Amino acid sequence: MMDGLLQGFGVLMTFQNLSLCLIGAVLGTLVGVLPGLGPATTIALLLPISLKLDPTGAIILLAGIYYGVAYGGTITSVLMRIPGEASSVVTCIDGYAMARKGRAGAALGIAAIGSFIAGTFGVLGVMLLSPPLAELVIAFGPWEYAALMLAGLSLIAFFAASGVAKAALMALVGLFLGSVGLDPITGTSRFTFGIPALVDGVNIAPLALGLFGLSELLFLALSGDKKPEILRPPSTLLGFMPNRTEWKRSAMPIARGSVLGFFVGLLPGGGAVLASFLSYAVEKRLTKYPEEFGKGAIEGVAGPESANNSGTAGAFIPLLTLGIPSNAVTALLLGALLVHGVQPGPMILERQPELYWGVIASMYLGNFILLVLNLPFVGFFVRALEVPRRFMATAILLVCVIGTWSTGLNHFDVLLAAAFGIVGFLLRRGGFDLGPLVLAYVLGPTLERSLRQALLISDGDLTQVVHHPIALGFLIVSAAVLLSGLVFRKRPAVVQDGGS
Amino acid sequence: MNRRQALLATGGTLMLPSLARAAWPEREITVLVAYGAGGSTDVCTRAVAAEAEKILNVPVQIVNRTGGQGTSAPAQAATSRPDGYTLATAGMAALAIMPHVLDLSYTLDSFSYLPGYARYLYGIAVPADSPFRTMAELIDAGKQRRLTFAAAGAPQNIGMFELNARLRTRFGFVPFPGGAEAVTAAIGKHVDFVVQNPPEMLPALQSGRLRLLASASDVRWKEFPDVGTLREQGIDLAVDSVLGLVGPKDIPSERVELLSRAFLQAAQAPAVADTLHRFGMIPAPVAAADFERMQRTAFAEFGPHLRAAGLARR
Amino acid sequence: MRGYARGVGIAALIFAGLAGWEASRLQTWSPFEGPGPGLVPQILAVLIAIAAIGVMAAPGDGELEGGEASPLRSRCFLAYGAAMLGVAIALPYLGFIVTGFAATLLVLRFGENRPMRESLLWSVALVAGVTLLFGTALGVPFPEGAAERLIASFGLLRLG
Repeated sequence: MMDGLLQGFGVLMTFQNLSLCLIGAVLGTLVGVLPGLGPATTIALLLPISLKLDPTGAIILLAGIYYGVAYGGTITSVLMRIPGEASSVVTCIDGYAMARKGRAGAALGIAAIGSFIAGTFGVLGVMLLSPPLAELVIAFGPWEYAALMLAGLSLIAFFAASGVAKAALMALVGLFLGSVGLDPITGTSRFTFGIPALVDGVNIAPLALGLFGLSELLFLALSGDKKPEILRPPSTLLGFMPNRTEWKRSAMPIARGSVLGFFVGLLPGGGAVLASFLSYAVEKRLTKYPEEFGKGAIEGVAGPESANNSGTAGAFIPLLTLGIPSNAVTALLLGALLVHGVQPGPMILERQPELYWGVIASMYLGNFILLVLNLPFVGFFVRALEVPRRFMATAILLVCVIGTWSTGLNHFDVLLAAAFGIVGFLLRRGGFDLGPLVLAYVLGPTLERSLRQALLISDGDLTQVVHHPIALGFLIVSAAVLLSGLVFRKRPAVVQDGGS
Repeated sequence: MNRRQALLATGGTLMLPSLARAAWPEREITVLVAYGAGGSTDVCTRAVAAEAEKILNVPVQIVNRTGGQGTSAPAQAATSRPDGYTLATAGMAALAIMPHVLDLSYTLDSFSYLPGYARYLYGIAVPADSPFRTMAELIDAGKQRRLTFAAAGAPQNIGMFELNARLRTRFGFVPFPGGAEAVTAAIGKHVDFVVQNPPEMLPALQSGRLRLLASASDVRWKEFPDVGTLREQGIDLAVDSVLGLVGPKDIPSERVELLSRAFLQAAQAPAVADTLHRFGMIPAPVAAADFERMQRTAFAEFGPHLRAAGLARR
Repeated sequence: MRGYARGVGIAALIFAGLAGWEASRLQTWSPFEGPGPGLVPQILAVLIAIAAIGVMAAPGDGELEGGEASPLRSRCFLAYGAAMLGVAIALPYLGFIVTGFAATLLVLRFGENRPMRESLLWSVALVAGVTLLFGTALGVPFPEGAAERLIASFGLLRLG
């Protein structure tokens, strides 16, 4: 294995491949920072160019973008409460709260370092554990996925700071939004009202950008001339960095996030979104400072940010060993592999070791480059907060609009985003937590589909689940999580609403 | 003829083709691709477009118009100006299946048809330790008890419904969001067999996790020349899906001719065949009239099956 | 907060009613495939109604995010809101460049009360910057509009 890795670095150390790795990482960060312009759009735009490169180079470039996005998405989440992509939604909660308290640098710094550690851990996992983990993916069938999704949904219990009814309502609405579009089993269209843009469902871009970005815009408009209360930002790089306490408190969340994120990201249908929510919930449960969650707890940034990076790495396992894409981005990567004549599958190690190891080596290097890129710029990004509101807010508006447009090239999406902006504003005024909505929206479709697939396979017999120990295990976990979150939660002394 | 007359005559003759060429097309042609970049439809269409560019001498630009399960690209083309500059990919999904399932803004009569250029291959495979070693065994078992199969959707499921109707088998369809997921479900033995395209199935077949029982297409798979087609194994069925181009109806017929010739020629280029093969497709240069006929026939055939399976809207 | 929470509750109740009605037109159960497309949405509609009632009963207490003052009284808020909605509505007709420019100008001049010169300068700079970044550099196709067509003729923009 070490010679494989050395071979991989050998492949990587050409001027072409190194520059591709760098370009991919930089471009990815840029794409992650710019809301709406998701990695899928960028990779799609670059695909024709990548066709002119050799397979290894092309994959290094595209993988770098995929990676960079996971890093870049944090920046707008922390600074502007706009999720760069769905998996950064959770960071909007505590990351932004930290920025308001003047600790934006610490949040960004911890996120970058946590992401590096988790990403490296993820690559190690891919390198060492691909074959057995591929078996795990294969063992997951409809029953197991349904149970996993239920377990994921039960995490809502940890987002119920604003009240059980409110969290439940948000989750239910999220589930409903997820059911818009073509029914996964019969192909009947649901709630589309003849609008072509809705046939594939409510797009994540208008939903996330509208609910978070545009609603934030409206709140900014209300904030009058008060700049957010930022203490004078430190002038040296180190001043931006997390202080000792913050480091200590982040260590375990980073570790937990790395492991959890990797395994969740491994399962197609799980993914980085679920990983980040899961990590947030776990950290909230285990922290010694539960009252800080929602108000700027560093654990709420360290954990999820690590989880979504190791989740990104984990998604490479089903991609490379089974040819299964876990999300739109890996689907594109798969297409890129096929175009270049590379057949993902168990034989990839034997047939194209230079590609496999080259990509792995580039993932190590990519993580390192991204860390080096992101850290020094933290100061620059934090100063961006100083820009007068009118410039920042109008920029947010235009970028959100073009970002939403760029995902599907249709006007309805933009209207939808504006509508969600208003809805998000009203919900936040009412003290509702938007997290459960997004989580339910992401998990709901897979849950419904898996459940119905399971019923199709078992010919309508729900009791068949007892033959599936993994599924049963997750069901027990769901019950435990619900109980733990709702019944045994650590209630702070004062009722708080900082849950948004 | 004296020399000057000869010179003039030659000059005049040489001018003629450029006069004819200056007529049409004069600017770039846009092809709307119904699926996302990097996917099989997209990459194969790009390959064909690249060849067509050389023949038509104008750029052929690809724009991805995803959504609607393959219908938004043809839908947009149907309402664009019938000048021959806007075309769209159209496959079985858009023309023969979705019109039964969705309320669409177009019908089969909304288009001028251009050639087909690619055909998807399909195969039927079982997990390696499955008791079925031949299609005959699978069918026998299917007559006696319910067997489940994984597939991403039409036309594979329709093929199996057809078998159910004819042979009285009880194959139950379990839909999956993509081919790879369907194949993985079969590897994991969550279903009894899978009907999908080569690229998704090859890694598992070659590593021995799955066993190919038959090619469901009209030809055998290049990688598995010893596995017969369904027809060769005595089952008169072929799962077929041809991909082609359409434009809005009422494009002037000379332009349709010109485009048809160009794309037909492009579809036969070796570079195209190479790309197609990587995505589990084979070149299928099908003349425009035949392509139209195939789609209309499929539309008529699929209707009853979809309705019987409860999948059709009307 | 209570007012907004109750408002959301009522809206959710109405939403549940409409959703349930629309969902009832879908097949609830099919002899072939078990649960039909309508089952889950119908159940969700019922649950949403229950949760909505729960929210109206316990709307919660806490500080109102964004301040106690009514947003509709703030000129700035109205300007931003109008800009946001205006862009979304006008985009199909006027394209991004013109609507973006108008929206930014509206916000700066009427919402933020800046002098005309600064408003114009920033509007131009922002729209140009976004167009160059997304449209020219990253190649994102832009919505059709007069200004877009003009720029596309220079080869700087793709139309989508």
